[in-house]
Amino acid sequence: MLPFSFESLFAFFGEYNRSVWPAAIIANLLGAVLLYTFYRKAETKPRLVFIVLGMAWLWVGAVFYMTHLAMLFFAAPYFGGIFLLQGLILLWTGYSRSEIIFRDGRDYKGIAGYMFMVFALLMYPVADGLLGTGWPDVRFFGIAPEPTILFTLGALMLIRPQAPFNLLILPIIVSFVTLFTTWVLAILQDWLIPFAAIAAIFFIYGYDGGVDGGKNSEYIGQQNLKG
Amino acid sequence: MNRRSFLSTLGGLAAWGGLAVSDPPLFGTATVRPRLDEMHTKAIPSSGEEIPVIGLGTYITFNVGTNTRLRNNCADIMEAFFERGGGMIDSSPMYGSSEEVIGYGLDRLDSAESLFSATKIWTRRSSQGPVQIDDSLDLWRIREIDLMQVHNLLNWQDHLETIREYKDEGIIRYSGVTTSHGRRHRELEQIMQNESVDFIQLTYNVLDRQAENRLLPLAKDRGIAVIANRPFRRKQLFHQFGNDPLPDWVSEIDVENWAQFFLKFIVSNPAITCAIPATSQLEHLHENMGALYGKMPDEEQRRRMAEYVESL
Repeated sequence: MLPFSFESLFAFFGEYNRSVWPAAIIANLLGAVLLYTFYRKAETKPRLVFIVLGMAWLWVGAVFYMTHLAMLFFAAPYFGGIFLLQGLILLWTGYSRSEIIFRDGRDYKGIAGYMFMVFALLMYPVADGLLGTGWPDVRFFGIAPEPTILFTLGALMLIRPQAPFNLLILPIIVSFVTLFTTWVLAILQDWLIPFAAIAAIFFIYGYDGGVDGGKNSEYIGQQNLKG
Repeated sequence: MNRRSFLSTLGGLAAWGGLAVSDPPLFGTATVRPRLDEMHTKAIPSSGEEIPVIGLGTYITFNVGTNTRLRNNCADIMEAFFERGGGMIDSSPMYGSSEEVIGYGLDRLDSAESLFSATKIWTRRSSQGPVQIDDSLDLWRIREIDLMQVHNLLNWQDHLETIREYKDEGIIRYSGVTTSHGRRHRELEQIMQNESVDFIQLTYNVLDRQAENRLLPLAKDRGIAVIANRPFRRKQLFHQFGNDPLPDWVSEIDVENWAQFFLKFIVSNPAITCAIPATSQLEHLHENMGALYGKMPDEEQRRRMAEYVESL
């Protein structure tokens, strides 16, 4: 059983946002830069993406969970450890896997990826504000877990031909762990997280087509890897 | 005229006549300050000290972090709790910021003389026991703790030893162990039989009555005080029965609402010393504290209460 209420949790988000201000602005700007880069460039080199995502996961682990939420929740440091580990995996991948390409695929997989990232950046704070306890008790990409998970899943869906499985393991695990909080506290907008995880698994590992030829984009990706 | 409307009318008359009434008026009506000499108390068997039978739990409800608005709400709950004659406040390091929020509330109150502080050690590591006791003293902003319990029997052997050492130093007055959700009753029974503890805490309510079979009679025999946790099964009893009517005969035991029905069932058990409902709402606090007053059900009425709930 969770030792805090819906109201306490959202009040905590507000207190947390104030105490780390202007981290939310910086994180969202970085997220917007990634989104813009994905959209403007046919192919995005991985280093910038993995640095931003890796730093976001490290921040959520060390600052959100271990430093702040630990006051309310005894298990927060354990969640923090998972986020730290994922942050390190992302940074290491950015350092060691330069062949990975994020491609602006206009197939279903790419569109879903963009939707998740846009929702994580723009809609999550709005949904929290409307369905929670109001401004500033909201969550932002890069400093709070759920929008960070969602943005990461969306970004990984742009990897062609497909994201390495080791990058997805922990985001998918924590996506389903959040179900417990979502269920117990009835946080409506958080149902998107496990849904996004299922969509990510489907689109990355079980999907081979799309509106403008997903096969073609995979083919290009494979050619790129060979090249 | 029911009791609430009677009290409201009486409060209005008292205010009109310049008599002492509680301030501020609650829920649009003035209420009479309770006659504390009429509230129900029970003796702690190991000392004979009397404590009010309704306490205050803090799980979830007091874990509000640093938010000032929510902290002040908790302080208001505590103030009303003491005004209505409450004594025991129960917490634990497991409850996040609850202990710190209690300290904040105590600091804000002019007086909390009736406080009976109850908290817990919650760690597997023996060396952390004294650390958690010292932390609790700091967080509550008090010099001594009335009751220190071992939370969920976690490493109870070493922690009971630590608690005894603090008792010898006069920093802790009573020792105890806790369980909840009906778990580990066999181990709890062994502790009750073989160890010297002043209190046990377990789950007991109108639906969860397993403790009646062995643990409550044993507590009576061994002279151990019993705290009942989860008196409402964490709101579940209200969800389950809250829309059903109370039976007509509850007026015989001065019950006005389901909260008082559930609580009076618990604390009228001769082996139960205190129940610790938790709330963050003043209205609910006042409903709960109503169980501290008026007639208590006898054995026959308790049987009818259980049967009525089971019939719904």
